[in-house]
Amino acid sequence: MSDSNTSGSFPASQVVAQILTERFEKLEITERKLIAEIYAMDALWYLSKTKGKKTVHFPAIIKGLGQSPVRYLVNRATAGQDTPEETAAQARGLFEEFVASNQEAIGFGGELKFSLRDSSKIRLPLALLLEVERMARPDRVIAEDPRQLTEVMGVILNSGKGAIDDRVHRPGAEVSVLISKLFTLQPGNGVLDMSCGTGTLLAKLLGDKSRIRAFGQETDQELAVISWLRMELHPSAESAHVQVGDPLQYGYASSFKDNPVDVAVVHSIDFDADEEGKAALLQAVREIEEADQRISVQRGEMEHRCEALLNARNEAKWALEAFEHERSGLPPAIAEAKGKELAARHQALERELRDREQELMSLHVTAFEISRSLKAAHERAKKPPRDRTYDLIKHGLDCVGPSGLTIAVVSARALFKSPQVDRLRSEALEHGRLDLVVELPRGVDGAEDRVAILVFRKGRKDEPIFFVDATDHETIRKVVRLGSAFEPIVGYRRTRSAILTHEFFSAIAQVCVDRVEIPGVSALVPRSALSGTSVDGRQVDLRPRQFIVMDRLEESAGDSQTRLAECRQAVVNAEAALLKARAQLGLDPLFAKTQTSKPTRRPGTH
Amino acid sequence: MDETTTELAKGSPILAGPLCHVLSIQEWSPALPEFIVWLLGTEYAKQHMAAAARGSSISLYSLETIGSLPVPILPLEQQKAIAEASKAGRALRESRIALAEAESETNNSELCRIAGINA
Repeated sequence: MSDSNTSGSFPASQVVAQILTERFEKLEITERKLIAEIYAMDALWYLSKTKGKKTVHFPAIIKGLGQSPVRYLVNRATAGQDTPEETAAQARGLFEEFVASNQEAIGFGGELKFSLRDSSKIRLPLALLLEVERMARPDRVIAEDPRQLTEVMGVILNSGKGAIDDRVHRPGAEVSVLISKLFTLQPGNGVLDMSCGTGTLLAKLLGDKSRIRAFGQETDQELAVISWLRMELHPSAESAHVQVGDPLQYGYASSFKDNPVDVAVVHSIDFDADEEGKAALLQAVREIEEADQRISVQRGEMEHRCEALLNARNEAKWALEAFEHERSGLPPAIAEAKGKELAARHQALERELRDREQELMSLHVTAFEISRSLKAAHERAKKPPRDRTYDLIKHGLDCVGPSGLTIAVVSARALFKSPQVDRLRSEALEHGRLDLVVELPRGVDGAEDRVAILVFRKGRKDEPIFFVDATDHETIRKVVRLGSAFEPIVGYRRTRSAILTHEFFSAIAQVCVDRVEIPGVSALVPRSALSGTSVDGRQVDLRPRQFIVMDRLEESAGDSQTRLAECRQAVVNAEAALLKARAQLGLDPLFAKTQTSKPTRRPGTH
Repeated sequence: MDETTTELAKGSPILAGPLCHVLSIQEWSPALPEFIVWLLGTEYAKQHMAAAARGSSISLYSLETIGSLPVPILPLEQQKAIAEASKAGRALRESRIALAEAESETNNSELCRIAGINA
């Protein structure tokens, strides 16, 4: 059998994906990142040797020894010098020095300092390094196809379960397929990804194109470095820049007015941040109010107690003074004893009063502090919660040229929750920029809720807005005919990885690009419809489902019967084919033939 | 996957490589391709190869494992008939599922019509 086979070429990235996915899935996020970082350093080292890439600076020990970073770590571990923990520590050291040598290019400086999070528990076994080197040594990958370096990095970071893009809620490979098909980039065009994560979307957009101006921005320091490394490895990314920092403040934000892009991508699916923040604030106000009430009660009690003590102390004092007048008439022994008793009582009351007054004083201080915090909390609660997603969308629209696009991947709750939906609706009604709304199933890019993609286009005329409901993968499967990869699975729930595939997102992209109304899936809605009210009297929100006509509504009884008859005929034909094939093998029929549907006999026709 | 496919004979895109083998039957071979396809999908073949498979999410088979699978040598006509019967069985399964879905949807539509609702 082995003689009768042929093999074509196979990208190293896929080899690594298949061989190492199982191992990567078991690794911690920090370990996956470290391996990807070391692999990228290794690849850049080989690129500097073979392609003369000089823009990147390497740690002194690597330059001194003339060994690639992975080889250096492997040699140390093979010589028995390093345990897996020590190898990881060495790798971290190399990486930190590498970032320090290239920090200007990545955008560190000023208040943006690079520091790795606590990674003391990371292990980097020699076997894993050897396996990565064996399967995808950069010099061999460069010789085959340099584009695969960035793919290998993507595989290490995001293959299988526990993909980093999913864990940190950044654009993953599947959603990148959809986004990349919503527009066409021409040479010279510019694209800005405002939360580029591990660089998956940028790598997808660059693909095999050239002369694309790509800008990536990432708030997470380590992800920014990883994305920068991935772009450095990408052969089409001569003009790709990744910078660390908040996209509203740093990097591209400082030059967007002079340097407009054609497409800006916002990825902000953490809708809960706003609501949770608001809830946390209200909770804090409630707790401070309760503490204020508690301290008021305690202070009242203490004041009452101090007053009682003061009275008791005064009475004791007066009793002592009265006794001093009377003591001359008493026998000396009795006078002595009574005098001591009264003095002791007076002193005890004096001490207790002093202690209580101190307690009262500290209660007053606490009450003052609580009252100040309560005032501050009330002030904070009065301010409207910041809508970062909308800020980013606005910034994206500011960054694009007069006919540019801003694509926002947001939580689907923004389609109906106020005040988020009000802002988006006003963007559609007042500025006429909302062009497309797609609602996707749960689980996209690791989101627990449904996710929506909104496309805002500048310079559009009064065209209808295209709404797509892609929440039901079975409907999409039926409409776009996804084929055998989407055969129905009976008996258990389909996993997310089986639903959210490249094919599924490509099918949605096709629907969006065709911009045709499909019953049950999509609808073209005039902008004015958004200013109306729904049947329950509320203002129309942005959920696609409310605008979409279901195909079952449209199907008449006659159409249903025709469809049933066609299905029955297909069964009859399939049965005949199977019976014939079995008869050729001398096998008995398995079943009685299904009868084709006959037209109903009308009275008087025979 | 666009980048990972390899155009082979007859213009069919096929994923191939060190870990994804393309098996083609030579002229002198006593087995038909469609027969081998059917054979590789049987429990017999799956059990034979399961022991030597690598990988968890995607099962990977070496050429040696596939090569060690005993293939019954049958007359070509019989091989063709078996392959056709297998294909017809799959087609029947799909058409019956489609019919069952259509019947269920029509039933619901009629019930909704009786109830006077649009769904």
